[in-house]
Amino acid sequence: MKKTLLIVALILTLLTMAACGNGSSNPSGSTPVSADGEAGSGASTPDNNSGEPVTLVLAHFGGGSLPDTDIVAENLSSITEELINVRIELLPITFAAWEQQINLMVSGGEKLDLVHVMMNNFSTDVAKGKFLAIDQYMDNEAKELKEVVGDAYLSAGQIDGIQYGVPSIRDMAASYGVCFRKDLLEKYGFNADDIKTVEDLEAVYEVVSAGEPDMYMTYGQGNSISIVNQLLTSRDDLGNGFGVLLNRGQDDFNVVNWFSTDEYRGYLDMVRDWYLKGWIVADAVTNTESATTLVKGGQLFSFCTNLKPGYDKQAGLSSGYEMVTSTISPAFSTTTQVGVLSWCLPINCEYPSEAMQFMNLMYTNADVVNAFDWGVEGVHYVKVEGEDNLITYPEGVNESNTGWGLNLGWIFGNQLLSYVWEGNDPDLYVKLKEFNDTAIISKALGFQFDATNVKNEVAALQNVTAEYRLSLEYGMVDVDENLPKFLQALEDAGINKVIAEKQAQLDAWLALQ
Amino acid sequence: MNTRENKIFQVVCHIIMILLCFFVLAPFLLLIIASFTDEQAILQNGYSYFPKQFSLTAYRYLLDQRDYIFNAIKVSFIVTLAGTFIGMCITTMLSYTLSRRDFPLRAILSFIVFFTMLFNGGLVPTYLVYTNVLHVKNTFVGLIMPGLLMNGFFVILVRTFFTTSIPEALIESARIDGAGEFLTFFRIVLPLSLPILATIGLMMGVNYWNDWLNGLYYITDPSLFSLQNLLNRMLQDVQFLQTNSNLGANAAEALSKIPTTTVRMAMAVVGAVPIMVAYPFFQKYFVKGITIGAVKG
Amino acid sequence: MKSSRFRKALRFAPLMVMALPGLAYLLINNYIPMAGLVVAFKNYNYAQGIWGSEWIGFKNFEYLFATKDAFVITRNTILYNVGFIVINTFVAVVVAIVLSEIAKRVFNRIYQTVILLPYLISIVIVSYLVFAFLSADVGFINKTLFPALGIDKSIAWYSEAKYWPVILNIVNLWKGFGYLTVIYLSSIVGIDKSYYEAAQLDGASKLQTIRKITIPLIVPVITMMVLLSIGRIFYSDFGLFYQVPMNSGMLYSTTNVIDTYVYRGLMQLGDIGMSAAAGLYQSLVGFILVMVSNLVVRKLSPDNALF
Repeated sequence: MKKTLLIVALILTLLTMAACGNGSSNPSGSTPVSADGEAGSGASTPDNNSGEPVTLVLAHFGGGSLPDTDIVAENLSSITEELINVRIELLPITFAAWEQQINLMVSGGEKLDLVHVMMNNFSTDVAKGKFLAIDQYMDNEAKELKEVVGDAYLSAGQIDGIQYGVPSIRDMAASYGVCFRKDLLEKYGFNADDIKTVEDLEAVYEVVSAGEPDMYMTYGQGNSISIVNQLLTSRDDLGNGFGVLLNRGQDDFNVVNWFSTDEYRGYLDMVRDWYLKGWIVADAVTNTESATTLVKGGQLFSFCTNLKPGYDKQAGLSSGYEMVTSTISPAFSTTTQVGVLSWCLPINCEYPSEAMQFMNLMYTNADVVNAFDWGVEGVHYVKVEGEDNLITYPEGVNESNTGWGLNLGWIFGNQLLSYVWEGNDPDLYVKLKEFNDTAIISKALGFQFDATNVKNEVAALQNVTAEYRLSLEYGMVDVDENLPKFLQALEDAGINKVIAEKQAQLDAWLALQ
Repeated sequence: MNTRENKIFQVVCHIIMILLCFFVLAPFLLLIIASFTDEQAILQNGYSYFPKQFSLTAYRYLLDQRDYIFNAIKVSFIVTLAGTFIGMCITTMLSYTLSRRDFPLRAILSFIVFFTMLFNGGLVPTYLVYTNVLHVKNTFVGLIMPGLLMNGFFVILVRTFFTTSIPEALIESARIDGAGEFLTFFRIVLPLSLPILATIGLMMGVNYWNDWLNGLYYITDPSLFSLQNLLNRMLQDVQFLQTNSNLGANAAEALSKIPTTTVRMAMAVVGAVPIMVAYPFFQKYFVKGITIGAVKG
Repeated sequence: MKSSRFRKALRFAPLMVMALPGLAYLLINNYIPMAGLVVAFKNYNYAQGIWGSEWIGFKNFEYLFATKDAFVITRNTILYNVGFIVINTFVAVVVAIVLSEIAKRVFNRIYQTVILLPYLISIVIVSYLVFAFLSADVGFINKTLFPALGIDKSIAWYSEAKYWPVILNIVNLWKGFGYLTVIYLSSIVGIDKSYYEAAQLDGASKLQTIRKITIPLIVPVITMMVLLSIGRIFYSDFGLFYQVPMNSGMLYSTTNVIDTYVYRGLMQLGDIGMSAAAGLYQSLVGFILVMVSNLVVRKLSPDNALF
């Protein structure tokens, strides 16, 4: 009997130890308190009046290792504490885990004050009550932000006229074209600036493929975005591509089925022709390498992509060759493009007013922007000799050992205020602003489609497009045989119902303008 | 039976196993070789067992990240060992109770256990219970407890073993001798169960080692990332960036930061090697139990 | 009689105590969250939470049935699982028997270690390996094997749906048979040696011994494993059907299963209610099938039934 009791006691002790003891091995624990122990004072009152700095938790994309997160957050906090008496706790979450973890954190009511949202999910998230409406702050805490972003862009963050998110400022338009290897292009006597249409492009491929028979001429950017999508986009996809406005939203407001248009058919035929000529990467749909890797390996001459100022330099860095770009489809802005990434306050935000004050800084204060984008001066970056705007690695630091290798400037506030990394055009952001300002703007900018009423159809349509679209748009399958099947499948899945719903919502939105 | 027939039978058995081993090892070999192959060589010549160009770039990249990786290995080890040990304790005890035919609540409890294998509350409710009620976010408990500590499958497996391989007479005679249940369990049943203990110990261990979902849901603190968590995040980041077309040019920027295929292969090798190396040692520990019956005339 | 019931309870108290940790765990990990299944019938709203969101009846289930793909995905799910159960069980039992007959301890350990290796690596890496073999551009088969065999053409494996039932079965077998073999092996090893001695005395041949003694004595374990697999018959290994075919649309007719369909459909919608509905649907079907199978087994040989 004694032995039995002993054993039972032992087991229970083990279990209790396991349950409690292990928890203390991690300093930040599960209760969200700022790293240096300052509890968010007055946690039950929404506005902080006691003079103690308030701590905000900011979740953002963070691919790769970021060992200096706390240091960067501390640096950022020291700036914000002085300005608005707020401290920031950074919570980087990898791309892959993002959706899952944010959803769970919001469901669980955990401390989360600022979060960015991608366009795909914006309207459905709002419909599900994930975010706070921020209209009331726009004229007070976020006054400067409002001016900098401008009404046009802000409209991309509104649903039914209510402001839920603020788009980050980066490349707010997209132009589409091709990125070539400069040496090969010049070898065959072509100049990137002269290539303006698809016909020009074909002429180039004709000549180069004859001269380089073992090379692939073209590709998309990766296996899941087709050439048609990255080269020939001239439609406003109104959120999900099921029902679009043609001609960059410049003409009318008729929502049409893009896949059934003659334009689309024409593109498919062209791409099919290219594929049969061997110009397109054979395993286009399943290839695991990115386009720049293929260029680096000498297998690929060019690839289709959406462009922004300075892209050629970037591509050059990844591919190891000097690259040049040609624009085939000029820049235009749609809600999708503008709202790629917007900053929102989740419903479990503890201090909305303070959060909006911080957001205001994100768009107006260069120190704040750079503290997040690049880290701590002297530790993660240094200014280039004689330049005010250019920065590079400090002595002894490089790409693999830097403690803050985030490099996602486009997500945080106003990228135009950011420093430029060495190797890029020093006037990069000046050019970017010009790019944004001169882009064609779709008349439907600001319209957000809410899919709640057609959820089932959208789910079915996603499956249909996943099945047919890529192979058709890479030219891998016969068009005559497969396009009708695709169109029929779309109809069976209910695309007409979705289009009708979208039209109705668009009309309603127009009436409010 | 005569020895000649026996010998032929042995040879046939060996041939079958050797062929199977080839079938199993061939892809592994390719994985390891690919991790040592030059990326460009793959792009030009394809994957091969005899690459034209070797390269250590993939491993050098990992070496740069070694602090991260060592920490991840440490986390994986702790979670695996602790989880497996605790899991085995509670599983075997529950199975023992369920295996006793004279236990009146046997049928009901068996059903309760089995039912959990079919129905699941789903991610969100489970998450809410663990975070809001038990506060396991960013703790080791969050890596050990959810989903993996015990499951109905192992319980039923052990229970079946107990009922078919432990003669009831043994337990009866123990009871008649005055032994309590705990004594019977520890002194009689467990020693006879080494084969099944080794088996589920291994399976639980592998489940813990390979798990990355608990890390995905409950851990945001990078110091608590397990090895598989690290690897899978990297692999899925690639997929994410490739699938999100509206990130456009920005995705390309981010993509170029993500390691290439050979690095991912190298990470996979690193992820599998510790357990491949550790397994034979643990097997040796239990080999006595398993092979006591395996040697036949 | 009060005292005898009390004594009975006392007698079984230790057993109950032993069972307690496990049951407590199931309560926390499985049963309490099960209450959240109601979200399958609700229009989940973050602000209102699970309990506050409005009821919408069966609406969340519609997308699973209202589509033309419903037949394809259900058919694929079931057929693959049946195939997996049959093939993997057969191979695992045969290998387990072969292993148990091998005399030299050393070889036994080596073989066991080797066949378990595929079980140890993640399915995402397996998908990369499959790609290394099957890729049209850089794959081992097309680039090295076919030329070596004198075959001139190359097959675009990721574009032809018809090969994939075979490919997926092979991959699933490769990854899973070691694990199953170990289970069956441990069961064989537990068989009382006296049976074999008796058989040997009676002059039975090897094959006879296997057929008449080994196999019948592991039938309980085989039955149990098969029954458990039937319970999961509407579930699929997501990694196997999504990662390994590299999410190639041209292969959907033979690789799309319920789990992948749900994932693709909900990736953008992110609807918690709809995905919970899918889970519930899969569980329910599995549950019914298992209960029925268990009843059948119970009629045939009561000891082998799960409960």
